[in-house]
Amino acid sequence: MTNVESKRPGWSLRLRVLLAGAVVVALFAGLTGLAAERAFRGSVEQMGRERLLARLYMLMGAVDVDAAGALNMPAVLPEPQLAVPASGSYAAIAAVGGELLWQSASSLGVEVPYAVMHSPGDTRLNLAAPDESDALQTLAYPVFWELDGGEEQIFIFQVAESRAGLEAEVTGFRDILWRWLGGGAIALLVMQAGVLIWSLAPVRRVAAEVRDIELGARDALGAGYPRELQGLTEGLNALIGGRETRLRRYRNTLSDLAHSLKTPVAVLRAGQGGDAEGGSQQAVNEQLDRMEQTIEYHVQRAAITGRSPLAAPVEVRPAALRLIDSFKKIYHDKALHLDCEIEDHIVFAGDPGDLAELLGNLGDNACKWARSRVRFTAHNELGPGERLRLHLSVEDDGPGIPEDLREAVFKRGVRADSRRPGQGIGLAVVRETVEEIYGGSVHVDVSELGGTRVRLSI
Amino acid sequence: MRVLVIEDEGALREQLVQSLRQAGYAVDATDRGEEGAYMGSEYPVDVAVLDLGLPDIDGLEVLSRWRDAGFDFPVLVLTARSRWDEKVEGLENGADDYLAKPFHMEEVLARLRALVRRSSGWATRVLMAGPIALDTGTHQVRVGERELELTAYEYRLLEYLMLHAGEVISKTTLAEHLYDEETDRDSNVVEVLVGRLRRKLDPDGDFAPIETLRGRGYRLRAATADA
Repeated sequence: MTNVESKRPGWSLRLRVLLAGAVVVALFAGLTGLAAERAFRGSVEQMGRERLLARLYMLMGAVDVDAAGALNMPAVLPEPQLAVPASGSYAAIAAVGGELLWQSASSLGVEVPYAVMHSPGDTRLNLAAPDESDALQTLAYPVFWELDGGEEQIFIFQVAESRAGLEAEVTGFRDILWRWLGGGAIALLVMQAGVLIWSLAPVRRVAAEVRDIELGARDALGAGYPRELQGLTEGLNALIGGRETRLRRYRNTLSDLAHSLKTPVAVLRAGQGGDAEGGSQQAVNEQLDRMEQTIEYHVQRAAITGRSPLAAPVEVRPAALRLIDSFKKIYHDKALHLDCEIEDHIVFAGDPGDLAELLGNLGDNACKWARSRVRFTAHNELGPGERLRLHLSVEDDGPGIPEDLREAVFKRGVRADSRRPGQGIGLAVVRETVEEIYGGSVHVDVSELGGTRVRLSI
Repeated sequence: MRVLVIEDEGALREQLVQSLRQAGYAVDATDRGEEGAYMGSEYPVDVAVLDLGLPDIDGLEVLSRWRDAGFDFPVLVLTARSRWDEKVEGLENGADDYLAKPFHMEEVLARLRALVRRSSGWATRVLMAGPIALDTGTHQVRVGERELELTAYEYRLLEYLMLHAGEVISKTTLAEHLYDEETDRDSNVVEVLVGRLRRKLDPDGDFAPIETLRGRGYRLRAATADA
């Protein structure tokens, strides 16, 4: 049963990137635009002030003061705007106290709020607020004019400028700026979408190939994936392969089981209408035992899991200690010494259930035969192709197995001593697991403790 | 001795009950885990046979409840799948031995005998108390050289007393361990049984193996010198 969590998919990758990209671009464009606008406005305002000042100097250069202190302005001034009525550019010269001694032609009919100075002070600059587009900016500049006779006359030079021109410049700039920034942002987003589609193509390919596998059009995912996805695709292929192998094994086991049961069933059926009661009852029991054993053997065989590609290696020592605790309970009456000489770092590159079966079957056998001692030892070895090999050995100090029976005990149903309980399939399952499923080897010989030693290499 | 059987498969349970009764046990049985858990904590059980694959609650859960509540009578678990990780789990959760199905009935009897002896501190098959020797396997009883003929209940009584040799056991306790829940109990029957047992064990009044402690109960003299 697979565990499927909530069916609602997480946010689409494309959506995430586009959204994030849009936010970043918008932020960037916005900040850039604001900065540019502010800089431009600053520059325009500065130019406005400079224009006022320039007009002032021009005025001062144009004016002529005679010996009596009377003003003489030429009819035509270098700045043509000053001659056009209500042009927005104005100039005047005032005396202390506010009396206007001269006004530019443009001032006709316009009330210009020149600064009134009652005593000469510093330059007075009145800037109108940016939102008062009709307002005028004025600059008043007191000049101490030295007359020919050495007297000093104070003239207040006044210039004024309408803000309308400033605002128009800023607005014009703003339009162009935002149009370009906006267009640029959109272009960026479009390119981003394109890059995204291209970059995510391998992911779409994985999804498509998985669909093909489900439909049976493919066996495995293809090659040529980018490095980032290779781990995923290789892992998936390993999972698929492992599952196929297991399915095949189950099918084989089932058919083996079915075949093996046919014979005892046939014998039982043939014995129906049989002769002496005692004899046929024993024959029936024999066949029943045989059937039980066959079923048990094949069921255990099918339950062998084998190596999983994505599984982590299993620590051997804790597994062995758990089984030793169990053996202590089961064989309590024998008061055995069970030694675990397996260090902490020893691991098994396979299924933990299979390891428990191996240790359990071998340990149980050893405990049955042992007089007083059973010893578990193990070490790892790095084999070819980086495969971690486990060498495991289980020894007892019992009577040992006679040499001619040593190979036979691993066959199903053969027991060296029929007195002890058990079905005689434990060792056969060990052999099946180690040799057939894990491709390792099993050896039986004499232990230095005096009894049997079973060595596995997986 | 009193045994509790918790097994949901009807035919198997009946077989177990029959065989155990024949072997001299007082048997209480049920097919449900909840009921079994209750029985284990309410009845004076000496040993239990517990199937792990029960329909209502997990056999391991029943076991845990008993152990957590402090009941330490030995438990033999029956496992359907004979995978080692299942056996180990049963033992780690408090079982004392396991038996994989299908099994021979003799297997169950042998293991239960071993568990009962183990929990009473006896390592061997033959219980001894002074000149009395009781073989729990063959159910033969000898006093010195003489072999005794005991009825089923006399045997049970003697076995229980020998397993608790040196301890004082009340009439009520004896009755609870000799009979299952269904049987009508009368503690006077225990008195009668003790009397008959005494006469068989010690017809000449030589060594009075069973003492009566007024108001407290009976005690079988142990083999050691504190008699």
